[in-house]
Amino acid sequence: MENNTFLLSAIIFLPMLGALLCGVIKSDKPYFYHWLAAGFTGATFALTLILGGRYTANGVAKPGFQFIDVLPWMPQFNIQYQVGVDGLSLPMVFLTSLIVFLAVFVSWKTKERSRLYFAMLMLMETGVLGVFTSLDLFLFFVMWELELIPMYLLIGMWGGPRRQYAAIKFILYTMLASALMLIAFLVIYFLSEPHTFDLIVLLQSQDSLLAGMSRPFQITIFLALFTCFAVKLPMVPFHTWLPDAHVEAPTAISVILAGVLLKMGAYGIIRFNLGLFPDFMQWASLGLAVLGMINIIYGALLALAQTDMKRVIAYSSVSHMGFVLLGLAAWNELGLNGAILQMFTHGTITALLFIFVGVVYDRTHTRDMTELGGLSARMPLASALFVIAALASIGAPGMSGFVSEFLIFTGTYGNALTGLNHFLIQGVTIVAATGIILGAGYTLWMTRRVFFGPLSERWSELSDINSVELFSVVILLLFVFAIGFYPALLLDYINPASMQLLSHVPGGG
Amino acid sequence: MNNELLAQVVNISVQHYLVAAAILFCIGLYGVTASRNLIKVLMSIELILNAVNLNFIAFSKYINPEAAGAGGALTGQMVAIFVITVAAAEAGVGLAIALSIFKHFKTMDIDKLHLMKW
Amino acid sequence: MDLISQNAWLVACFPLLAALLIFCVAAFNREANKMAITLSLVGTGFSFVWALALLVLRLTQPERLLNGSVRWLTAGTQQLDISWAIDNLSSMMLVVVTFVSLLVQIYSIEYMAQDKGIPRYYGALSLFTFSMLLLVLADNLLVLYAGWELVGVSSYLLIGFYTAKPEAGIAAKKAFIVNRIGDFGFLIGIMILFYMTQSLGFVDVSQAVIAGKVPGVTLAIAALLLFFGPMGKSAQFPLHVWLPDAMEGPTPVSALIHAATMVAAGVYMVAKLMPIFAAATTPLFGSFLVLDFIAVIGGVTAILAAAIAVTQIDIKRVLAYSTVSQLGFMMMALGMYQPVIENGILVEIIPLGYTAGIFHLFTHAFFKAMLFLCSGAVIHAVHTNDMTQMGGLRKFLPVTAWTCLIGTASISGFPFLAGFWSKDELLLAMWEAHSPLFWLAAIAAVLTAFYMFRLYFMTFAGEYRGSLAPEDIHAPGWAMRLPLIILAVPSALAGFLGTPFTPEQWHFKNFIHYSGGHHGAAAHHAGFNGVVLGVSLTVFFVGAGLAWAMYSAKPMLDPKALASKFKPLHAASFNRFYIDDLYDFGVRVLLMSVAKIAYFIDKYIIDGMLVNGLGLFTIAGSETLRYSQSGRIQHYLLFVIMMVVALILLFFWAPLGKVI
Repeated sequence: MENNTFLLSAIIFLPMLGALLCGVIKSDKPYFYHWLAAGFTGATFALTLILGGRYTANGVAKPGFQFIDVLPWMPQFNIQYQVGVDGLSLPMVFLTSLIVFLAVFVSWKTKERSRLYFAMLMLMETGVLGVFTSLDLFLFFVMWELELIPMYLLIGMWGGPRRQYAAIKFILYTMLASALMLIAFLVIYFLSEPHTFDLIVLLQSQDSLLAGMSRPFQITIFLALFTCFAVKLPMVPFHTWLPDAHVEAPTAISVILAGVLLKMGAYGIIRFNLGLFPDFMQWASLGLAVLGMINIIYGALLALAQTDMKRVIAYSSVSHMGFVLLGLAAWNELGLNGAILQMFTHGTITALLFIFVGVVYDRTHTRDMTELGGLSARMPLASALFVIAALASIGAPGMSGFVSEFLIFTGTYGNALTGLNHFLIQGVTIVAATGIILGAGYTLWMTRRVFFGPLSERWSELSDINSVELFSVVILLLFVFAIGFYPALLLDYINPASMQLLSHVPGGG
Repeated sequence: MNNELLAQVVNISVQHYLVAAAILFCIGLYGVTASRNLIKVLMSIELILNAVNLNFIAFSKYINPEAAGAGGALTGQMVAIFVITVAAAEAGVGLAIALSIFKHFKTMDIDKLHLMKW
Repeated sequence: MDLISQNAWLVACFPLLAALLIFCVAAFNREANKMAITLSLVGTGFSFVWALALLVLRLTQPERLLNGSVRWLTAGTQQLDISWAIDNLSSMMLVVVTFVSLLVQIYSIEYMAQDKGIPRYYGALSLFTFSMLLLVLADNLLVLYAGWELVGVSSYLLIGFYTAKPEAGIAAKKAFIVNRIGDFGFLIGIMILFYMTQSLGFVDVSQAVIAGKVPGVTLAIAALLLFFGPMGKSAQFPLHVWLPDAMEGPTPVSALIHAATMVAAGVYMVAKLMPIFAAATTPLFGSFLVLDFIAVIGGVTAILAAAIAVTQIDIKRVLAYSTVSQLGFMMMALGMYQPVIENGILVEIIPLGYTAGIFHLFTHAFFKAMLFLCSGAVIHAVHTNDMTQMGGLRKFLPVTAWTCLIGTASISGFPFLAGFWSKDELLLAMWEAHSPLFWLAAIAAVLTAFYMFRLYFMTFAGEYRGSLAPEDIHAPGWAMRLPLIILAVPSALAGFLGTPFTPEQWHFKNFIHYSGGHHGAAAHHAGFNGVVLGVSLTVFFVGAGLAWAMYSAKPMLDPKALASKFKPLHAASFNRFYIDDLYDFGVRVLLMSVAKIAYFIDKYIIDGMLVNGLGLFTIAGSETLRYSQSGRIQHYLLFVIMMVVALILLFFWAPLGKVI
């Protein structure tokens, strides 16, 4: 693949262009900005489809970065604009453009200050796409921060009653984390010879890079990066910003938050911690597995104790992202593929669940499960689809959750570590597998309390899911089913990348 | 009495000037930090500036005197004149502010002027 | 025939296709009843024909391989496949599943006619049929597990069909979660085997296991964990609690999933993976093998469920506990084995009850499905599940009464009916294995005969005790009668495939027998045993006679008097030995308390103290420090001067300079 096709750059900056147009064009027509956003995010999504189509050569996905665009940016400091995709980032780019595109439809009812709203939405998409594609640490950092500010405004301006608190908590937490990332990046920059932020170069010269640091220093840098991404993941105990942000954010923003933003944390761990410090990552495997297990079980327990639908799903996100951590501890392709697939899977399924919370909330103006119940009588289609989404979330076969959970568990059980760690991780995996029971518990419990049972008089006037909402749901379900039936569809992209990621490990893989 | 004779008798070196300027500077500093009257503070600032001026001129005289022909020896004096000009302007502005403060607060005691706290 | 043999997998795809079409249409038109019924019947009908053809293929051309696989995914260099294979056991199961499913769907046309959401119902039925067929077709653990989970999912949909009924939702959730507990063990078992053998295919795994590639203890643990799955799905103690509650679903659903298919999946799985269970020759403790564990669990389940069934008054619950008990019988039989000891070391175990267990599964599928459908007809007629509100229904529902009598007699072991022969085989297997469980099984069989005839007498004999006017009791129409009559035939006659007198080439065991291991299964079996036959007959007459004495039109013993005489026993049985309450306590009190505590920790300690505490600390810090801003410029200046002096000292004071 030759460089500088600018297809990828077009994908990244198209939403930003849309955001700029929102700023330039003033229109009083209703839904003008809605359509503008739908057009731009839709075009972005179409371009990602083209990107995915052209990514393979003769139907086989190639390893390594492709569609690399390089432009000098600040040559004095060896900072360049460099983007590219591999099998790890391609599914994420795809997921991002899909979820944001659908989020536009989910927020179709947003009337208030829709101009700023959609501008921020698209600006954020550029940031997230930039995070997933940057091959330059500096660019990565800039994009990481670029995503924060629109998100802050989206939660803080269009959110629920405690939006200020949630927004400030979100941004302070993430900013603190990204400060750690910046420090780590600068250290890497100054220790590389010649000084560079270029990720491709760094990945090739990681051994000499590591040789320049003392071991405690390496661990510090590793942990700084890991903490930053763990906040975003979110990993227990850095997770408390998530439920607040979810509960206060408007539906579409919750969808994006759970569907895309959390994946940035997991992506960062795989790209930087695993990519640049593979032997540390391996050293930390047991810790990762334990943290993953805590995430899974603790998140599930918290979800059981909730009465607010959004909180249940928010904590279920904590639980499900724990599977990613667990999969990373496996050090084999099964586990890593499972982890990456879980990122995609969780993105689509949790997005679905949040859309349904929005559907219910729009009609009943409550998310409190003690007040809801029996909605299936008035919303048969919505409840049927919700049941499907809930089943997908608990890993029913034929849907993508099953595949990633199966891969993660089998992968982690057969982990490639040696000695005592090997057996300890096996034990941790078994304990973590109780998460599938708890997961079924809270998800079905929520389903029953909201949709089953007798219908209260109060809800006798509810309308069923409308076509705009249905559109997003059906598209997401299509992906859930497609991957569930034939996971090779996505895994054939992911597998070469994960093989390459694991090939770096001295004595691992 | 010519200059050489004077130098021989008193033996004035650059240190003398510096010590004098330092004393002047400290008096100014003391005035700025310790006086309560706004006018006195302004006057003390003038003292500090003049201490600096003295340093400039002394250095100009003693360091690099042979460059006098090229006008280099006058660098310090130039800066000093600059400072005097700026000080005049500053005094003007300062006194104007002092005047308006007095009109507003009916006092010149700067201990009572602490609106910018906390 | 080539078309069928090369596309054996299509047998599962027809119902799936039907389900997808039904759901798609139902999304737009929720009243598309006719379309849904037609599609569903056609799909299952095709499957039934396909399954019959496959069975014929297995019978006539046993050498022909009916298998295949497609790539599912590749991870690293490892490829996971969706693979299917049809052996004798699975071909039999395919026919049973599609047959019962078809009849249940026909029956439901009338039974469900008054209900809303027919397309959803038929869609879920088709999906269920697909899941079950997928499970049966599976040739590797992955597909088996997928089918297994999918069965759970579709049964969730079916049990919870009456969405407005709170009990239905709770029962559906309970069924799914209890099954999940079993699946948790199953999954770990799969993980262990996959890790040890690096393959998922049944053949590969069992070969690796037999070749001793898996250490004995690990294998025993893996096999034990695998058995957790069947414990959940086949409702074995202590995971049996979901099945009686699952009666909240529509009655035809109970006939399908709680008699012939879903609950049979566990037994099928144990049989299918028998090479693995049989290879686990390392004792769990003492000389207690995994197969012993299976047998004991089966035995406990059989006797416990039977003991509960004798006091229940809900007709469907009696049948539900009866099913649990019968499944216990099957598990017991599957756990029977003959050890082969060489030089004092257990080298191999030969399963003895393999054929018997499957044979009972086969006959049980017919008569239990029929009994459930009968109960459906009764409930349909009198609008209650309570047997104390029934009685004397024979004259209103003659066909139902006759078929029910056949089913009752069959399950109780009336001579020469299907259940008699299969139960005889079960007892024979236990007798041959010299298992003490034989006597347990005999007692459970007495109870079986008792509670089944109790059910029959309470429902059909005597006088009508309910409140409905006689003209309001409607006999079922043809759509409901036909499946009953069709099922009555195998319920009565299927047993003749497996009598001791059946010619060898037609015998059930000739078609289905355990063929793993070195010694093969040819080692047994005796065929006819007078003692066993005697026990079998005695059991029937004692149980049925007792029921007749207590519940017939002119009872000789008063049940109420007996109940009060054995009050603690009766209460324990009536309250299901308090097992459900124990679970309730475990979930509602223990688990929820843990969850609440976790939430408390999260809310007040992690978020409140640590996260917001950090924020508070910051705020408090700046609140304190702000008082240093006096607003007096001279203070600032003084501070600057002090700092400059300090800096000067720092740099020029020699001793300090050295320190720095």
